[in-house]
Amino acid sequence: MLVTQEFTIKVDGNTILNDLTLEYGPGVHIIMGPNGVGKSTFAHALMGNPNYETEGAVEFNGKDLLSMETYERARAGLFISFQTPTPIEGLSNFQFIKQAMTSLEKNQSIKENLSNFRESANDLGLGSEWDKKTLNVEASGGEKKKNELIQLDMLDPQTAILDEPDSGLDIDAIKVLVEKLRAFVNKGDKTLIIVSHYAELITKLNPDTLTILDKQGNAKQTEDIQIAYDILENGFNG
Amino acid sequence: MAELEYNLKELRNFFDSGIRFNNLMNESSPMHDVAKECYASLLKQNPIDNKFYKNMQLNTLNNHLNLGKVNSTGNVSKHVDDDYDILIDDGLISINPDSRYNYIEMRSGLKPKNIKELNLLSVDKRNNGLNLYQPYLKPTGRLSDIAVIHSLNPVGYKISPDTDLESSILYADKFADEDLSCNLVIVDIGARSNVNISEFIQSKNGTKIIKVLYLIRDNATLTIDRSFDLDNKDDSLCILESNFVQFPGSTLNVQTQSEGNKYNQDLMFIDVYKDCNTDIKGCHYLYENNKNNCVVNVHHKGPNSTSKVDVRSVLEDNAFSSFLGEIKVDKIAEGVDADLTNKNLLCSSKATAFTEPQLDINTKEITCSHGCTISNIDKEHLYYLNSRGIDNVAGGDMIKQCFLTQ
Repeated sequence: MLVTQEFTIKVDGNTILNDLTLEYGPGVHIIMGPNGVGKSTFAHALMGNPNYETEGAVEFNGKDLLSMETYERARAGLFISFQTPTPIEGLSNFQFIKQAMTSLEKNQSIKENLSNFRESANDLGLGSEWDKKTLNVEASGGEKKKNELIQLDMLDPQTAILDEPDSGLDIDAIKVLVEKLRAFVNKGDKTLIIVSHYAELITKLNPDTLTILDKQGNAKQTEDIQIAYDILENGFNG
Repeated sequence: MAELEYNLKELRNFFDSGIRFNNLMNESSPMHDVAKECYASLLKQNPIDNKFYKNMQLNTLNNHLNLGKVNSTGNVSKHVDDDYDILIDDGLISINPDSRYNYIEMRSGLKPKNIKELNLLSVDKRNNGLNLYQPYLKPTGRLSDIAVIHSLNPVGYKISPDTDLESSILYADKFADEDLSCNLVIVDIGARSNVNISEFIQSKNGTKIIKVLYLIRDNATLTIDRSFDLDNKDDSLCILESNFVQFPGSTLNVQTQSEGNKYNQDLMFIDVYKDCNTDIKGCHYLYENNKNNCVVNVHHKGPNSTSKVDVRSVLEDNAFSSFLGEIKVDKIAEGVDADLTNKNLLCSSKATAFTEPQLDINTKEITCSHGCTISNIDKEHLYYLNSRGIDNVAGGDMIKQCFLTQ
C-alpha cells in the first residue's frame, strides 16, 4: 500500500505538484495528465530522485518512504520504469540485472538468472544475445522499454510505477506487455501504477482507480474509470 | 664502501665518475657510441628541464634521493621468481630454469630446446649484434636517455621469423638496493611471427628507468599485456619508455594496467609504417597519492595503417594522472585511420587529471579523430542503479569498473 499525505514536490524551489493526498493499494491504478504537468516527476519523487525536494508524508507498507534513500526504497519493494532508461556504457544488460538481483537479495544462481533473463527477453522479441548487449546503449527506444519490463519481471517488486510503458512498443509487444502486467497483478498483493494514455492498455488492465494531474499541480483520484475514456475522447479540457 | 646521495638532476655530474661501469664508461659496451651521444645531449639540456614533462609533476621524481654505493659489488637477490619465463634487470637477463624455454637439459649444461625460437641478447654472448640497434636509440632529450648512458649493459631477446610464441617477462628488482636502476632492453620480433608477451614491472624501493626498444618486423604481430606491481607502491618511482617500430604489415596490440605508484611514467612512442595495425589500451585505477603519467605518441610514416588509442583512468583520493596523446601523420601516409581517446573519471574533489591531445596532420587523405574527457560520476547513472536496489558503494564500483573496461 502506497499512501501520500499532502505530498508536495519542488524543483529548485518551484512547486511542481502540490499537496497530493492519494492512496494506491493492491490492484491497477492509472495516472493521466497533460504533457509537462509532472507525471514522471511524481513517479521519480516517490523513488527518491535527488533532483526533487519533497514535503509532506508518504507511507509505503506502513513505513516512512521519504526517510529512505533510493536504493532502500527499491529494497523495500518499490520499482519504477523509466520513460527514457539510462544508458551505461560498459555494463551489459545481464550484469546489471544480476547485480540488482543480488542487491535485492533475490537469491538465484547465475545459471537460473540467465535462463530467466533470456526467457523474458525472448517473450518480448529481443534477440538471443540480448543479455550481452550494453545496457540501454545498443537499443532502440522500444527495446529500452522492453528492457524495463524484463527488470520488472525478474525483480518482481511489490509496487511498480510504470511511466508510459507502451510508448515505442509495436502491437505484438503491447500484447506481451499486457500479459506480463496482468500476470504481475494476478500474483496477488501487488500494486501497479501506470502512467498511460493508451486506451487499449487501460481497457485490458481494468484499473481500480484513476488519478488525474492538472496544470495547477493538483491531483484528483477517482474510481470512476469512465472519466479516463472521456478524456481520451475529448481531451483534458473537454 | 662510499655512499652517494643524488637526485636525477644531479646525476649527469656522476655518469663518468666511476659510480658505475656504465655504457658510457665501458668502451667495450655495444652501446658505447650512442651512450656518448646521449651524454653529450644531456649535458646541453638536462632532461629534468624538458618541457615535455610540464604536466607530469616531475618534482616528485626529482626530489627523491637515490642512494648509490661507489665501488659496490652489486649483490643480486637470490630469490627465484617462479612465475616468469624471462627475468630482466640492469645488465641481467635470464631464463627461468623451470620455464618451458628451458628444460632439464639446461640444468645439466646442454642447450635449451627452442633455442631457435627465442634468443637472449646479452653482452656475454659473442656476435650478439646489440651494437646494430644503436641507430634506434639516438638521443631524445628525455629521461630515458639516462638508461642508454647509465645501464650496465643492454640486454634483450630476439624471436626468429615465422614463430608463434607466448612468454612472460619480469622486469625485476634483483639488486634490491636504493640506487637508480637503469634497464636498456631490445626486443626484436622476427617477420611473420605471432608473439604474445605478458610483462610485469616489479616495484623498486627507489627509481627505475627502463627503456625498451621493440622492433616488430614485417607482417609480425606483437601483443603485450603489461601490468605494474601492486605492492610497494608508496616507495616506487618508475619511468618506462617503450619505443616501437612497426615494419610494414605488422600489428601491435598493447594492454597496460596499473594503480600508479609514488611516481609512474608509462610512455610509448610508436613509428608506424605502411599497412600496419596499432591498438593501444590503458586502464589505470589510481587512489591515495598515487601518480601515473601516460604518453602515447603514434607517428604514421607510411600509408594505409590504422591506429587506435584508448587510455582510461579512474582517480580517487589525492591521485594524479596526466595523459599526452600525439598523432603525427606524414605527408606520404595517405589512407591512415587514426583514433585517440583518453577518458578520466574523477571520484574525489582532490584528484587531478591532465589530458592533452596533439595532432600533427600533413595530408588530407586520412581519417583522424580524438576525444579527451574529464568527468565525474554521472548522478543519473547512480540514480538508475539505486532505483534497482544497488547502493552508492556498489553502484560507484560498478560505474568505475564499466568506465575502465568499456
